[in-house]
Amino acid sequence: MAKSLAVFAIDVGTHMHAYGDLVAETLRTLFLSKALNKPRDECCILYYGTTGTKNAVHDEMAAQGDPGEYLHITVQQPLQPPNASFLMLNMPKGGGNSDFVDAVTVAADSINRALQARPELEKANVGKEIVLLSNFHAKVREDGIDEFVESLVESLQSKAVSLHVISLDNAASGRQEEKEVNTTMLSKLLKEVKHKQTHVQTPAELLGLFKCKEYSNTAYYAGPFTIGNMMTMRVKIAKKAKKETLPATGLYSEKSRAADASHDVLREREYKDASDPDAMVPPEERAKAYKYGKQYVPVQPEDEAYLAYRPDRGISLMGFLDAESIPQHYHMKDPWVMVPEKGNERSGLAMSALVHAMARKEQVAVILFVPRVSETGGANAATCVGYPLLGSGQQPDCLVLNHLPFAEDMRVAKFASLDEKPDLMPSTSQLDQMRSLVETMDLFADTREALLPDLTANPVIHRFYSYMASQAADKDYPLPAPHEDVLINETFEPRPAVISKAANVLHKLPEHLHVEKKELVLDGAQLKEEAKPVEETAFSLEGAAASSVETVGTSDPVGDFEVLLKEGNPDVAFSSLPPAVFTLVDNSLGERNYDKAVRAVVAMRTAAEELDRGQTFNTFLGELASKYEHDRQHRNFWQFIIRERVMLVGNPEEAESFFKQHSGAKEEEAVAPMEVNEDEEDEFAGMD
Amino acid sequence: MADYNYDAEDVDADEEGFEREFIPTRDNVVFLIDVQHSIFESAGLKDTEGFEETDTWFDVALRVAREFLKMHIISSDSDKIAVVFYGTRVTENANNFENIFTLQDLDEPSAQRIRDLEAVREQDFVDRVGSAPEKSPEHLRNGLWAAQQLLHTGSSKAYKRVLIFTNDANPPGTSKQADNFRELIMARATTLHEANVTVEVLPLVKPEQSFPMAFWNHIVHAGEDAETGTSFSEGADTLYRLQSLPGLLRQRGYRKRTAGKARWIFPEGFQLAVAMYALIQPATKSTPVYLHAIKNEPLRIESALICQDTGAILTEVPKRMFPKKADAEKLAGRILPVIISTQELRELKIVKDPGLYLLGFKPRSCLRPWHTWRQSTFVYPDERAMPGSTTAFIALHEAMLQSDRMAVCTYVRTRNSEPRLVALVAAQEEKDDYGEQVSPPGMHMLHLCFADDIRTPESDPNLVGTDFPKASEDQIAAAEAMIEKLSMGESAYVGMFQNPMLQRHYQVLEALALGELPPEVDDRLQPDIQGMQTVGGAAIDAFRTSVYGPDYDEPGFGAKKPTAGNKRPAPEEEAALMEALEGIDYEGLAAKGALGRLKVDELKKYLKAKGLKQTGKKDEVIQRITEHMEKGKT
Repeated sequence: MAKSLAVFAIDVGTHMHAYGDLVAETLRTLFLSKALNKPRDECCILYYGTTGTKNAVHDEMAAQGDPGEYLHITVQQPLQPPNASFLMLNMPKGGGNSDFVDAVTVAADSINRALQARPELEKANVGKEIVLLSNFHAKVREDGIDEFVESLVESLQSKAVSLHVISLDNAASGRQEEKEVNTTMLSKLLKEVKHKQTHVQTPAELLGLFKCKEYSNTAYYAGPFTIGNMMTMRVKIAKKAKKETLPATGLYSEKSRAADASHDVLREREYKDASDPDAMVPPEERAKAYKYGKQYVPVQPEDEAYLAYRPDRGISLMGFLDAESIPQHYHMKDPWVMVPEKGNERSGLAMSALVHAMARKEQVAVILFVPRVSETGGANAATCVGYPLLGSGQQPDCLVLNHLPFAEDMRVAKFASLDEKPDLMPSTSQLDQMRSLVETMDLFADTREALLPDLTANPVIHRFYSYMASQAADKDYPLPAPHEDVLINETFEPRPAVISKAANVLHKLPEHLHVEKKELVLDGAQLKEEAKPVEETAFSLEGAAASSVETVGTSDPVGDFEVLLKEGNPDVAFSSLPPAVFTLVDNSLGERNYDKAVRAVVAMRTAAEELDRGQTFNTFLGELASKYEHDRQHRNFWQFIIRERVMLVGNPEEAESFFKQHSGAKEEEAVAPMEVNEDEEDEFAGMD
Repeated sequence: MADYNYDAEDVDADEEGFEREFIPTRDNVVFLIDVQHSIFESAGLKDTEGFEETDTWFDVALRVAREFLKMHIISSDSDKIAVVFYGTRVTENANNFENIFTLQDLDEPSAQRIRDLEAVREQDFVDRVGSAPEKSPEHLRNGLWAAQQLLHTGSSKAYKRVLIFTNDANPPGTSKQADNFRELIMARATTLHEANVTVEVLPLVKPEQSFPMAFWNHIVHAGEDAETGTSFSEGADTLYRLQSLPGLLRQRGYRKRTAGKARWIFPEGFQLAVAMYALIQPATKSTPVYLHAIKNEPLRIESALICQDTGAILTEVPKRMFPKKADAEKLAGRILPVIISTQELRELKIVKDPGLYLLGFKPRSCLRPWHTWRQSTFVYPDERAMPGSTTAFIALHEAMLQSDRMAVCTYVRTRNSEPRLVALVAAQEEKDDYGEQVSPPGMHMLHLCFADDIRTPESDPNLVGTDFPKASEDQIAAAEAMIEKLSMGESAYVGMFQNPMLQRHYQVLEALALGELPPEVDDRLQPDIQGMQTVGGAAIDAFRTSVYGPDYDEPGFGAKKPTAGNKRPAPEEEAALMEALEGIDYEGLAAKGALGRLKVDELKKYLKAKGLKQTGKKDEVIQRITEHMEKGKT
C-alpha cells in the first residue's frame, strides 16, 4: 500500500516560462529520489495554465453540459509510483489561463478518486499532500470565489489533505497587485487547512527545495531519562542530523557481450598464509586477534565477551555546566534531539520546565547516553552535552545533544600566543582593513541569512541525482560543467552581492598585508591521495598483515616495486618505495645498503617517467636531498645518487639546476657508525 | 580503494578514510629520569589526582611512564617509547655512556613492558641499578647523548621528544667549572635540537615549592633561532607541574602534528597559508586481525574483483551502474539503471580545486548546536609556507573576535574531495593559574551540515504528537533551583572522562596478552548518584513534586522489564487478588470448558495471581489458564 500520496500542481502559465528549466530539474531530482528511496509513495503531476485541457473534473462537467469549467489544467501523470516518464526534461510552456484555486480543486479531486478506488488509502498513516508551485502572478477569478474556497477547504479537511505552497517570490518582477489579491485568497484557503508555506527567492533555493532523501523520524532510544536516582522523565531520542552521502553505485562489468549477461562483479576475499602466498587458509585455521601495542593477542570466542563494556542501558544526567564552558568545537559527531514521550503530559511538563530553566540560567546538561547494550558487542556509551531548545506551537521544548570527547580523544597541543612575536603583530591600519572586511563581507547582504545550513542544499548530491535523472530520461544528456551548475555557484562561490559590498576592501587587502605567494607543498597524506589513479585496481591488499607483495620491502625493493606495478598497483608501489629506501639507508651499516637503495631510486624514476608520475618522484628526490645531503652519517648516500646522475623528471633545466645545487658536497667530520636497528618498519604503515 | 567508490560498504570505508587520514605519523619519546638520591623523597601528591600519597618521585615518574605507554597503545600503537635513567651507579646502555641505565629500549609499547614498569620497586632498583654516589653534570650530558642515540635508531620521520624528569634546578652545579659544564650540556642540547628533537622538562617538586627554570629554559630552547620564528609555530614550553596525572597526560601525551595545509583564498585574489591540526581525534578500538591458528602469524587478506559472466579477474572496472543492482531490482523496471563511467562519476563529485575559500562572515550566534556533523579541526597560520600569513591571520582573528563573527568558507581538502561548507570560529588563548596554556589561540574549523543532512524529528507529529504542555513559572523555578545544586562546577572540563569501552577493551587485552584472567574493571563513567543525592536530593525532590505532584515518579526501565509477566505481586496486592479469586470457580468453569464466560479482566486476575503473562487475546488467555491448571494436576 502506498505510504503517501502527493499531487504536484505546477503553474506553467506564461509568467512561469522563465522558471521552466529550474522547476523541471527540481522535480526530476525529486521523482528519482522518491522512486529510489520511497518506492511506495505515489505522485501525480498536474500542470495548470496549459494551452490544452486534460482532467477528469472538466470531463465530468463537460459530460453534464458545462464544457467551460476547469479549462487549461492538464493531469500529466496520474497518481502512481514515479517512473521514467516522470523524469521529464522540459516543462510545457503553457498559454492558457487558469488559477491556483481550480488547480487545487482538480488536485484534490484526483486524491478523492484514488481514495474511492482504494479505500485503504484513507488511513491516517497514508500522507496526502498537494504541492502547489507558482509565482502567483495569474490573478484568481473573483466572483463567487469565497463560497468556492469554503467548499474546497471542507473537502481538503475531510480527507486530511495538507497543502505545501511554494511561492516563487521575485520582487523585481512586478505584478504586485495580482500577487496581493492571490495572497489574500491563499491565506483564506490555508487558514483552515494543514499546510506549509515556502518562499523561494533564488534559483538555488528552488533547486534545493526538496531534500535529496527524506527520512522518517524514528526514535533511536525510547525510555527513561533519570536525574540521580530520584526522578525519571520518559523521553525519546532521534537523529537531528546525519551526513548524507552520495548514493551507492554498483560495479558494472562489460566483459560479456551476451544478451543475458548479468554484468555483475563480485568482490572476493581470500585469507592467505603470509609466508606462503599460494596457501589459502580455511576458516577453522583462522584465529581472531587484536593488536595490543606490538603484540597480536588472540581472543577466543568465549573471551570476546570480556572485552565488551556492558553498563546498564539508559540515559542519565551527570550534571550541569555553564553553556560557555563547552564551545561547539568540542562536538564529536552528528547531533540528536531528546523529546518528551508523545502524549505523556507529565514528562512533557518536566522537560518543558527543565529546558526553560536551562535556557534562563544559560546552562547545558552533561548526559551519559547508553542507548544500546548488546550481549556480545557491549554498549555504545557516550557523554553528551545537552542544549536547551525552546519549543513552539509545532514542537515541544526539547534538548539537542551532541557527543563530547573522551579523554582519549583529546590531543592537547600548545601553540604560541599570537602576540608572542611583536614584529608579526598587525599594525592598526592592517587591523582596520580586516575589521572592515569582516563587517562588509556580510552574509546578510540580501537581508536574509545566506548559507543557513538548515536551508542550504548539498550541491554535489543534488548534482548527482539531477544528472542521473537526466540520464535515465535521455542518455545523451551532457554533464554540466561545475561552473554552469547553479547550486554549486550559489553555494560554494562567493556571492556577487557579498563581494560587491566588500569589493573596495578586498582590492586593497594585498596592499596592506604582504603575504608572499609560494607554491603550496602538500604533506604526505595529501600527496599520497593525489597519487591515486582513477582506475580501481584488481588486487588490492588489505589488512594489517605485512608481506613482501603488499608493499615494497627492504629485501628486494626493485623486485617488489616491479611486481606491484605489474599487478596494477602503482599507487602502492610509488608510496611504499620511498619509505623502503629511507629504511635501507638509515639502517645501513656503513655503505652496505646504499647500492640497493640507489637501484630502487633509479627504478622509481624510470617508472615515474613512463607512468607520468614525475611529481611524486621529484618530491621524493627532494626529500632524499634534504635528508641526506648534509646528514653526518649517511651523506655518502647522497653522493651515490649524484654519481648515478639521478635527475628530476620533467623540465631538463630545472633538473640540471637541482642537480648542480645539490651536487657540491661539503666535507664534514666523520662520525662513528651507529647501532643498527633491525626492527625498523615501513614509515607509512600507520597510515594505510 | 579508489576514491569515489560508491558501494554502500565503501561509502563507510570512504568516510573512515576521511577520519584516518587525519592521523599523522608516529611519535618517538624518550623518558629521561634523573635518579639521584633525592628522587626517593615522598612526592606528597594527592591520590585524587591519580597518584598515591605515599608515592615517591621515583614512583611518580615511573607511573607517568606506564600510563603514557598505556595511552599510546590505545590511541596510536605504532609510537615508540624508551625509558632511561641518568645518574645511576650501574651503567647499562647500548653505547656505554657512563651512569646511564636504559630500562626499556625505544620500541612499541607492549603488555609486558607495562607490567615490567609496574614491577620496578625502589629496593629492587637500589640493588640492581642504584644512584650514583655523587651527582655530576656529566650525568645529564650523557643522558641527553643516550637519548639522542636511542632516537636515532627510531624511524626518521617520527616526531622525536625527550621528557626529562628531575628535581635538580641546576645540574651544572656551583663549582668553578660550572660554566664549563653548562657549555658542554648546552652543546649536547643544541645537537638534539638540530636533530629535530624537542626537549621538555617536568620538574619533580611539591606543588607549593618553587623551581628556578633558568638553566632548563636554556636547554629547552637550545638552538632556537629567534629570527626564523621556529618557536612561534612550535610554541615550545618549559614547565609543567606534576600535579595531576590525567592533566599531565592530556598536556604531554602527544606532540602536535599538522593534519594538512591549505591556502585560505579570499575573493579577488588575497591569500594566506594556514595549517590544520586534529586536536580532537576519536580514539577507537583496534580492529581485529586474523592470525594463522597454528603459526600465530597475521594472515594476508587479498580481495579480487571477479566478473560473474566470464569468471575473469578484473584489473579495472571502468563502468558503474546506478542504482546498483539490488536497488534497481526493487524498482522493477520503473526507472532503468544508468551506466556511467567512473570518470563521469568523478566529474560529478570533484568540482573544485583544494583550498579554503572565504565566502563571508556571520554573527557567531548563527551557529546552532545541530549545525555540525563531525569533530572540528584547529587552524593556525603557516608562516613558513607563505611568509606574512601570520600577520594577516592575527588581524583577521582579532577582527572576528571583536565583532563576534565567524567566517563561512568552502573547504576542499584534497584533489579527490568534494567541497563542504565550514565555519571558522576565532578562539582566544586561555591559560590556567600557572600560566599554562589550556586552550590555544587560533580558529576552530567546524564542519557544517547541509539541509540534506538536517532532520526535524522535534516537529514530526508522529514522534512528538501535537500537544505540548508548557511548564509554569513555579515549575521552572524549581528546575532552576535543581540546576543550581547539580552544577558540576569549575573543576569540570571537556575530556574529563575516560572512554570505558576502550579502557575495558585494552585492560582485558593486556591481561590476555600476559596470560592472566581478565580483570574486573570499575566503571567510572557513571553519574555520581550519591553526590547528587547529598547535594541536590532535596532540590530534585522539589522539582519532581512540582511537575509530577507528590509521591509520583515516571517508571524507569525497572518497571518495564520483560520479566514483568513472571513477577510475583507484592504481598498486600496478592492478598487482595486471592480474595477476588475466591469469588470465582475457575477450576469448575475450566472443567466445563466455560472459562469463556468470564470477562477478560477476571481471567487476567487469575493469571496475575499465578504470576503468569497477562498479555494476548482472550483465546490465548484462556489457553494459558487451562495449560497452567493441567500442569498443576500433573
